[in-house]
Amino acid sequence: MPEKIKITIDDKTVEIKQDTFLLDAITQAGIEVPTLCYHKDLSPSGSCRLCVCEIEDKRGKKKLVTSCNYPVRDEIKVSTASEKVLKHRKILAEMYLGRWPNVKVVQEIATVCGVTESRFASELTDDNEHACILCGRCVRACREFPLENVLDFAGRGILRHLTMPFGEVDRHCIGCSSCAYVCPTGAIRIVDDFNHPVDPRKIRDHGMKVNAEMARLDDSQCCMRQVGTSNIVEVMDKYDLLPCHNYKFGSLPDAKNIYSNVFRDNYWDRGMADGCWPGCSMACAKAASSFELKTGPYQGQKVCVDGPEYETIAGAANMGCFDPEFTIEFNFYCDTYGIDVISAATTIAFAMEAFENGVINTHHTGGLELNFGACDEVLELLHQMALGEGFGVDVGQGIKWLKNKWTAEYNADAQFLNDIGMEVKGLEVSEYVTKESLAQQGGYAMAIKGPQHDEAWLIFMDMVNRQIPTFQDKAEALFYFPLWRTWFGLFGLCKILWNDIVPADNRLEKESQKVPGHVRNYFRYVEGMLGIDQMDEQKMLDQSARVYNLQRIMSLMLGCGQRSDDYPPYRLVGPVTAEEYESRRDRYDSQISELIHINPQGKSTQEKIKILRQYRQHQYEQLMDAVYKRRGWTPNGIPTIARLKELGIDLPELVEIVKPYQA
Amino acid sequence: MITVNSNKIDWREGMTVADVLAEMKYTYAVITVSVDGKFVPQDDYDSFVVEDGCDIMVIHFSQGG
Repeated sequence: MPEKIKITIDDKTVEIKQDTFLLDAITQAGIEVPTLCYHKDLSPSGSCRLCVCEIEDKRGKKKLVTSCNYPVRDEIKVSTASEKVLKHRKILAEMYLGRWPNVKVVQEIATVCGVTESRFASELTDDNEHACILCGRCVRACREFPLENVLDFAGRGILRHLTMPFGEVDRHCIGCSSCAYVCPTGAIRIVDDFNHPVDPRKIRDHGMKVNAEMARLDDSQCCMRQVGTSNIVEVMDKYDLLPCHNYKFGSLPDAKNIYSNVFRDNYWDRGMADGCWPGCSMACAKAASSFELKTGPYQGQKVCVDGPEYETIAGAANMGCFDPEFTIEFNFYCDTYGIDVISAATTIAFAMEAFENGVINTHHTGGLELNFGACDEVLELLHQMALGEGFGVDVGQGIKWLKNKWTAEYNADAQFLNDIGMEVKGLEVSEYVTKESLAQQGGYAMAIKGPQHDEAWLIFMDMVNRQIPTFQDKAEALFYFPLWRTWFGLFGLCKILWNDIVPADNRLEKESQKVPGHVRNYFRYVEGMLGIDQMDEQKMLDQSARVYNLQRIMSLMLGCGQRSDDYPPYRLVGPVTAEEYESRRDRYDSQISELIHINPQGKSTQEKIKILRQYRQHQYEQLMDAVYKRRGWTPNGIPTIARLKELGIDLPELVEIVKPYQA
Repeated sequence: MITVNSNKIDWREGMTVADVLAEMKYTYAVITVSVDGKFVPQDDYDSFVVEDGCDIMVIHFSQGG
């Protein structure tokens, strides 16, 4: 923990942490000094030397230091405007003015330093008002924002100039425009005219803020630039939310074998935008560029694998396959075959539990021993799915189809399969354990397209932060977040820049979980793209609700848009088996006692499972009631005609569809 | 007893915010801590001592993958 020390700056005393840069301390004291190469979002370099101050140590020894990069370690006296300092700054300003007389920021510095003309005009003088003044901000920005290094100085002395390697436009430039953001003279300007946004400057100004946040905050937040979405593998494991063994458990000891650091340290050697957002300085996609495959049609070849991301790794955990190389190979072949990795992992995890419980056996699987953790068998199954062979043909149909087949043809226990088959509306569940979050159970099962979390991800807000304790709170969250997330999805905007980085002052916002500062950025982007008037929350909710309600009506037409289609499998809600219950017995016993007011002592595990199930399923029913009401839907989950009218989409053809369901 | 995100846990003399986070196994990086409504900066987690009966909020800004 850095010590706190007191220093005196121009007769003001301030207390600072040891190793604070002197310029930050001076700013804290409310004093201004001129700077040129300094930028608040970059590491300091001390090259322009305008920020010099005179410091005196305890022995009375004085010297000039560049305050921007001078770490204060002892009690010192600082003079920001001594005669020596002012003389030093004046000569510097005069030299800058001689070289770049028409650059606005140089003129401002000269005025501050008391310089009106320069003796230093020469053949090097550049009259351009947007001249490059060699401040080096762009070099640092390129290094620190997108973590590239394509800009630097070349040439010595009077030949020093800014360039890219070999004087050519370098392919590593991702167009993030961080250099333009920090350039004080306009020497670097961006041409924005790809698809003719109405107000490109508005888009860029807000995008730059996110670039700066990424550079300053990402390393202490989610480390997206280092490890991408996989940063939450270890978080989910530690919070008992990582799906293991078909969502039976939220954590297992072997999960550490596939934490993000394992991939970062041993496999990934590339990080860049992978065809999503050119210019994004988060560039959270990570790749292993030379991975040798062990199986399948490309066995023995070295390939570039884009990933794995969180869902793929968590899917591996769900199958009990805690092996990083398996995970990468599974990722590659899912991508190559065009198989959705989440659906594949969740379906195979279901098949594994069915296998371990004797619902299916090696006769059905063509000899594959599909126990949890059977990595080789999983890859074999994946190849079968792609080739349309063997057991892969069945597994490739997904959980809903498998449940129906195994019940009809193998006399399987339908209740058991419905409880452990993690699908809703025919779509497999994505990779989070939601047993302790009623709100996220709704977030999954009430999602229009099926149980993926692009509508809502409320687990921490609900289960950990306890910020939405009542049904009304949860309903409000399940009203707002699906609409907000649908809205930016419709505009093709990435979710990650919304909340996988949060502004430093986000906690001061009234509704901090919405990350309002970034929501405002998104509004500005859309205004800049389309030239529309001031976006605000209500406009956004209405725009989105028009589409969302249309989607619900389409679901109704497709046969999955009513209350009966919004129920989750019980494994999403609570423990199905004795093994699950016993693995978290203290938690469940205390809930039975404190929430349901029944004494668990003396009751069998099966009895306790039944008590908890009744309670939780009743809770879910109440949640549905609250959510439908908030969304303006009937108790059966159908948009009311009144709601359609309110949104201005009560078209005759839509009213005709919903009218029979209004009772 | 102290309350942490509506959970009751045992208090002990000299318990710091860092101790509370360890007790709750709150390891996530992007959190904000307030004790009885007062924000506690991250640098003070090791030194800020919590009193018996206090109400602590540890808001995680986690939003999934």
